[in-house]
Amino acid sequence: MSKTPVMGDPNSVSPNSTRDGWINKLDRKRAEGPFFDGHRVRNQGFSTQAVHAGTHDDPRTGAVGTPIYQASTFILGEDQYGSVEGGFARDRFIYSRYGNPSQWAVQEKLATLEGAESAIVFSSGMAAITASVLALVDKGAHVVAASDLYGGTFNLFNQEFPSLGMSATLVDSYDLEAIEAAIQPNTQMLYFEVITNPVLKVVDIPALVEIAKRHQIRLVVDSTFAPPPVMRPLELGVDLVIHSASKYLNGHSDLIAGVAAGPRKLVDQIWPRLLNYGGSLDPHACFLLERGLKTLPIRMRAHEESATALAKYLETHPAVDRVLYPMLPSHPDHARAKQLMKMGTGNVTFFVKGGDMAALKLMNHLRLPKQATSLGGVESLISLPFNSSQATMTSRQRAAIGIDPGCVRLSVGIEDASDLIADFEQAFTAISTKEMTDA
Amino acid sequence: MRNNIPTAALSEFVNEVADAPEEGLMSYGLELDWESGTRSRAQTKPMLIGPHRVSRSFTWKADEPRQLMGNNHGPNPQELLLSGLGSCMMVAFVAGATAEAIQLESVKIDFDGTLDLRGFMGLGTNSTVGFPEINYTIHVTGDATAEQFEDLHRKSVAHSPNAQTIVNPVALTGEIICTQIEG
Amino acid sequence: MNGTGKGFSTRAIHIGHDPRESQGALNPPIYMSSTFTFDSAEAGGAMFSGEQPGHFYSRISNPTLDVLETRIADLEGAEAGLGTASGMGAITSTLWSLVQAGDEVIIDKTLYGCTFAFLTHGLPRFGVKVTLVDMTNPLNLAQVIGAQTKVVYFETPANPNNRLIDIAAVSEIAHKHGAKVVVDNTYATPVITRPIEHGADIVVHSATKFLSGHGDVIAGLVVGSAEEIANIRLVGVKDMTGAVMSPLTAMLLLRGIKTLDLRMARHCETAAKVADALQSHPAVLKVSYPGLAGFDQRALAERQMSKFGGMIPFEVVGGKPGGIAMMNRLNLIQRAVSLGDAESLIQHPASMTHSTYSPEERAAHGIGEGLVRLSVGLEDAGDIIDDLMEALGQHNSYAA
Repeated sequence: MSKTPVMGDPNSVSPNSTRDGWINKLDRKRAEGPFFDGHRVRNQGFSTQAVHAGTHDDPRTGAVGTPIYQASTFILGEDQYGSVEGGFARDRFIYSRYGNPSQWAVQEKLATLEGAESAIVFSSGMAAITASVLALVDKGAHVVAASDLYGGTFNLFNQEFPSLGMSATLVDSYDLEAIEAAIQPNTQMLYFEVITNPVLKVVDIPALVEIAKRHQIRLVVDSTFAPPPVMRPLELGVDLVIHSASKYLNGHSDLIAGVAAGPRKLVDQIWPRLLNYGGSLDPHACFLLERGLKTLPIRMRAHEESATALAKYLETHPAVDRVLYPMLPSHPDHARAKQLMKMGTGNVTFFVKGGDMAALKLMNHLRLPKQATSLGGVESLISLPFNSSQATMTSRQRAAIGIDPGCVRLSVGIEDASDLIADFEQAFTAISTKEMTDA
Repeated sequence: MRNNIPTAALSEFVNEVADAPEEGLMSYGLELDWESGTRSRAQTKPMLIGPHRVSRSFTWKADEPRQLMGNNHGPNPQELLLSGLGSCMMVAFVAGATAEAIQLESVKIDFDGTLDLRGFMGLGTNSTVGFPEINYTIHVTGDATAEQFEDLHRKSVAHSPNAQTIVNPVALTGEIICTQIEG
Repeated sequence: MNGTGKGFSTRAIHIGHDPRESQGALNPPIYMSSTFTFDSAEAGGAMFSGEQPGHFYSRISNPTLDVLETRIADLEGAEAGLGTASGMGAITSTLWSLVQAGDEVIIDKTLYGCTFAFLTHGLPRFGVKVTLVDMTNPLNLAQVIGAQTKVVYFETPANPNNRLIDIAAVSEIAHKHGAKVVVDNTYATPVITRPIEHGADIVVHSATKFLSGHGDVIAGLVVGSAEEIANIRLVGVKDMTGAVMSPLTAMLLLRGIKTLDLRMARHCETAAKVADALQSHPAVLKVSYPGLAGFDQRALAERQMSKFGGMIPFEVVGGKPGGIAMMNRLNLIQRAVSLGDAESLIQHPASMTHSTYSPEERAAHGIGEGLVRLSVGLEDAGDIIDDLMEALGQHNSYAA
């Protein structure tokens, strides 16, 4: 039998044993990856990276793009056995929960887009969050996190942490003093969302980086609302970035996935948690995610364009009390948004005059945006925090986190801005006419 | 994974520290509280692994046997000393074996030490206060030759922080903060 | 794996894929790629001219389809295979490649409705003569076949009434006149009959049916000699129909074919029980199942089929309204066209699959107006029979 090529990362080799020396003779160094052999797309433009990074033409057939490796398991040879023995099984193909070529392709693309050494895809954003957080905290640890986290993440800290003998203090992500004051001797991590939901606060990431460094703790951020063309948190000094890839990264609302990206050292610590908790992403979803990422830069431009036009329109509309869009000067964090965000996104939050009932009427008259949670898809989605994401809160609790009555959460898709504006125009007209008729 | 140690990660860490020595600085801390009589409670403090803080939430108790005025609620300080010494030598031995691709099946280190309490008691004698000598025997089963194991033994003691702390003079610096109360 | 001497299931699971070529992956990757890169422009040219093997565009070939094509060819005992977008894609791509204006195609008179429409209405528009013959008696073929006959085409068992054609006898006559024999083997599958072993030249399939077995794809397959398949690939599919199978469909088919042998065993076992139960019900006039002792072509069935299939055409009292009323009382068995799925399916050929025939043609071709066609699924036999008996029981009182 001829010598088979390495099924995995050919740059990853077994550490030589040290029969005549001590462990200082071990010669394996940590490297980015695991990646396929071949071209790295690192220093090219963002769109080039989105199209080409990680996507390897099949060497056997020349097929353009990554085949879908719909396989649960892989043939084992000496090299695979050696990787298990040498402790670098992540760099070989053994079993699809451990790693699969379809996962590797999209992981390399995501790592490149985030400027990370390594990335892991997960079966959901929450799978990415739990595996990452629990990999980076130890027995008895404490975490300081944002008080207006996404509900699923809030539940991890609020429901799961105490059962695990860990604790979290939740603090307003604007209040740097309170964040620092919450740090205890056993605090191991700061966990924040770079842009909060639904009031779209732009969090002062550089300040959090500085606090984390000073206290020698890790800073982990959820960057779902600011995908790579908008912000690259690792470049700002964040230790690890997590996404719900179901949103902008995939962009087509047709799968559930998550990703964690960062230095190889940390991602290698997360990998065993993936194996134990089991949230691996199936090859078909990897294929769809990889496919979706190829249009990420152009989709984000379209999201921004339509969202900006719609936000400006809403701002001038007499039935609208207030619009929150970070790239507009009216947003309280506009200056920070200009500093930290390379561009806007599709998320626009606004407040309808007349409170939640008026917002409900408006939403029911809209024809284009679909009433649904989630965000970042090509189709516009709309929801009201009062009866969906923050339905369990009282109006006072909602107001405390900036969700005033009439709050509408809108994820602007890539439809033509003129169509969206026309749809809002007819909906506003309908509810004002109806009010007059009612009166 | 050999001997349940990921060789690749061990190698990567060694090479990381070679390039960035600050990653190899470990800061430990321990708090001891007197509970009652000869019994005290030890609690680990958060540790620094390189520049990053890690939670260390572990506690245990030390006590003396009744014969030594205690209540026998835990190992005594001498046993804990031997435990700290032996478990450190064990880490070095197993890490070294893994790096040399030696597969271990079992390792046991058997410690004995005798000290003369007259030192503690202040009774005049020529003997030291502490252990004048600590004896141990390593029982090992694995796929290396006796010669290789002997070499590994020598290297693991030479690289064991706790063994080297015991065989070399170490500066013990301390202070006391006093609060006097009304008797 | 070399399949020589290996059993059907072993070959259905292993043939055509070497994990060492695909990162060790146990299952072949799905090459969702339209095009392929060339090492050099010269290499690309050599592939286009056919001097060098390789993939260059997925309308012509694709590595995932390669595995499927190799596998079905092996299972059918043929040299080569070809995947197509549908069973009709397989049939039309094959015939477009074999005939030209002035040629004749002789077909059996009972065919799937759309095949019948293509052959009787489609091909004649392009100057191909199509002659209908009752091939259950091969002598009928011998009487009309001539020098211009290029293709003899039939189904066995035929859709919808399970008429059988003697492949060996028909092939002998056809070959004597230099005509190719094309057999639609959708009903039997290679588990039951391998037409090439009986003398046929080309086998076509609607792989949507038993081969896939899960009702989740539309697909076709063709097998035959390497030369014929290359011709159908490069003329019929590439330039005429464009009926290309998606690599994802190929993967699902490969997956389905792994359990073909055991699914067919279950389909046949249950169908035998169902046919028995139907036959003894007073409201059933006729059951045409090759496994029944009273089947019209019992000797041929035993000679040509290793099992007797999962399809049961039967007629109930009351003609078309009677058949339709009975179908509407079924609860477990789903009213749907298609066949060969895990779910039992029932349909009424005269108004559905064979509505492309005129009533006169149906009468002449043995497709009764009251005939219903049952595709026996993988459910428990008792449940299928209970469902039928309940519908027929009421039917009995209704009819009386």
